[in-house]
Amino acid sequence: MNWLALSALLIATAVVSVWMIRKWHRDKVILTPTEKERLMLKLTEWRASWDMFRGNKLGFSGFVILIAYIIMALFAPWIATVGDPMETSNQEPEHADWDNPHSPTLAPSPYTGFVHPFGTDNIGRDVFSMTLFGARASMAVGLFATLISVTVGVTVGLLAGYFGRYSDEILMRFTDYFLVLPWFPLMIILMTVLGQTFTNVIIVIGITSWPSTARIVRSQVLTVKERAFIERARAIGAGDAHTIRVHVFPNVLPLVFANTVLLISIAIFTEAFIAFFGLGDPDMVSWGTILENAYYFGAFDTNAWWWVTPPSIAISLCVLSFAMVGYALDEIYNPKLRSR
Amino acid sequence: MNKRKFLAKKMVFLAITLFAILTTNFILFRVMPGDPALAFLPKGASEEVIDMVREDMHLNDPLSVQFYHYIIDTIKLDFSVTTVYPPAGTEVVDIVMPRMFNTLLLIGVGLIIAIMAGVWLGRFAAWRRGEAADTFAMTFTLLFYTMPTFILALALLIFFCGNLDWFPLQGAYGELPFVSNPPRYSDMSLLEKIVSRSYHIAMPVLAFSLQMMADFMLIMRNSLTDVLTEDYIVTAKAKGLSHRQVMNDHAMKNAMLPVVTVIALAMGWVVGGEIMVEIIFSYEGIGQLTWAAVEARDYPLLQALFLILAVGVLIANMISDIVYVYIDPRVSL
Repeated sequence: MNWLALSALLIATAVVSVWMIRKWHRDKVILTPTEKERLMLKLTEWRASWDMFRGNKLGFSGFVILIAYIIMALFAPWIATVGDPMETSNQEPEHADWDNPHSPTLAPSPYTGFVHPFGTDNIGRDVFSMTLFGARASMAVGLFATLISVTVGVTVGLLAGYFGRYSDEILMRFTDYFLVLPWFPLMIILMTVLGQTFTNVIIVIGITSWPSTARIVRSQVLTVKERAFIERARAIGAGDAHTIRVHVFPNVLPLVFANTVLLISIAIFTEAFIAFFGLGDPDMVSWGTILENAYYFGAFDTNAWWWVTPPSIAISLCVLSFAMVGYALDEIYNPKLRSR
Repeated sequence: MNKRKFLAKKMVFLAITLFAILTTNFILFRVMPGDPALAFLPKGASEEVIDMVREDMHLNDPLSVQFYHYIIDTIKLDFSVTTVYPPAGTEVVDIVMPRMFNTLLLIGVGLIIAIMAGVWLGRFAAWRRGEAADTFAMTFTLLFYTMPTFILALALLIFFCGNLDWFPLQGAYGELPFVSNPPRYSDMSLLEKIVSRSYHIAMPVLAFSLQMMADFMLIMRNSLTDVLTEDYIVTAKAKGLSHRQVMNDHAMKNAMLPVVTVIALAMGWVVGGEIMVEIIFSYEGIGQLTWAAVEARDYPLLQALFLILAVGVLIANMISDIVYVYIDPRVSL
């Protein structure tokens, strides 16, 4: 997972620096007056959107919860009562007056000195810390899987919508075919074929969730394509690549943005059940894995509610908050919904 | 558009998709790790026996010939025999068929409840848009819509089947309410059989249909609020039509179209949710069998199941297309 984050960061820096150098060569200044003006305009636009978002109670409360989750994921090792719950030395050993799973207690344990506010699981791992670390897996999947899915979806949608005719027919039939495939058995099979690693979880979620994006992008491109400014751009000799990049794509972007947030919630939910059904990476702490362990090691027979409740609530609340933000964004950016 | 032309186009697409699914299914299970012939045989089989089995399963032929045999076998409903799933060597069809009924029952009952309740609730919320009832209904549905199916199923299993012990913990039939020593299922009378089945199916159906219901309700509500702001609804109201007449004769007809489309597109999700529910409630259906096949790494069984699930979704889509033709005024003769 670390190398994934690292490579993403590297690619981002490379893209940004190449762009900066090319721009410097062309203009010899960082910001031309036109660009400054354009940036100011963008800023006012963003502020208007932000105000509208602020006004949406449901969306804004979802956003606040999301921030809390992101903080959880980023600072997990520092917030957690146990440094790294997977470390063997940090696990609570069995003793005469301490049996695992142990119910929640705020008093430090007499053996390792750790506090277990949510109790421990069957091998003495701290449930509170595991729940915190689980946020990392979910956020990573949400981010990277959605990145894959949006990239594929937007590309297919743009190509199908812009070029129309045969490419549209072929690409959309391909998309429909993916929509028809039952995704759960497909994921089970793909995970068995590819092997159970965290990267594969991300890839599998990414390549099974793109069709909805492709459909949304295509329908939006179809309406944008007919507008007058596209015709004007083409009349003064803009090529296809230029038209798509400069005129079509920015107009499609807002809708994609709202859809992306919804996709993240689906990706997080999907990761949780892939892990719950034991198809995920066994070495990765995730909410689904905690639930899987609880299910298989009889938390439900022994009434170890503290082992089951935190991850369940964490998943539900996380998915819910992403969905709330997604709907709010949809309401702001989708012109069909805005007027109501 | 012409009704017949529309359906013909859909049928052609259906045939192409079916072929694509068959191809996917063929390729997916050829790249699986491990030699299928070895999985079929007990450990330490001699070289000649392995060769014989490979020849019998067409594994020595080039891929194109294998594909040909695969298509022919599928058309003849010959899905080969299981390699691991007990008892190994049973015809796949014999294992799948008895479970098919259980799954269809669960999906059918769940979907009917979900569609009826979802459409009704959506209609209810849309008519009272902005009122307290609407807000309450929306919060309620958003909660169930976003709650992962397996967590909901687990919660129901723990409370109603575990702690309270009101419903059986597993299986599709066998136990009877208020009877501690029920007779064997085959010895039950018809009434007892029905009671036993409903007793077992209640919780899985609840877990399965709650989310679907929330989904359908959201779409119904959004689609209806769209329609209710149209001018012709104002006209209808101005004519002095009653609430019921406006809803039934003017609004619902147009609002149903997107709902049908979404229900059709949701079939892939329906199957996924149904599998999860089956696994958690140990309900003996196709989904639970898929799970067992994965655990056992039984490829022939898995291959057949994947095909069955995909074709099931395809058929559901086809049905919704046909329904669409009959309710959409734009597609007519």
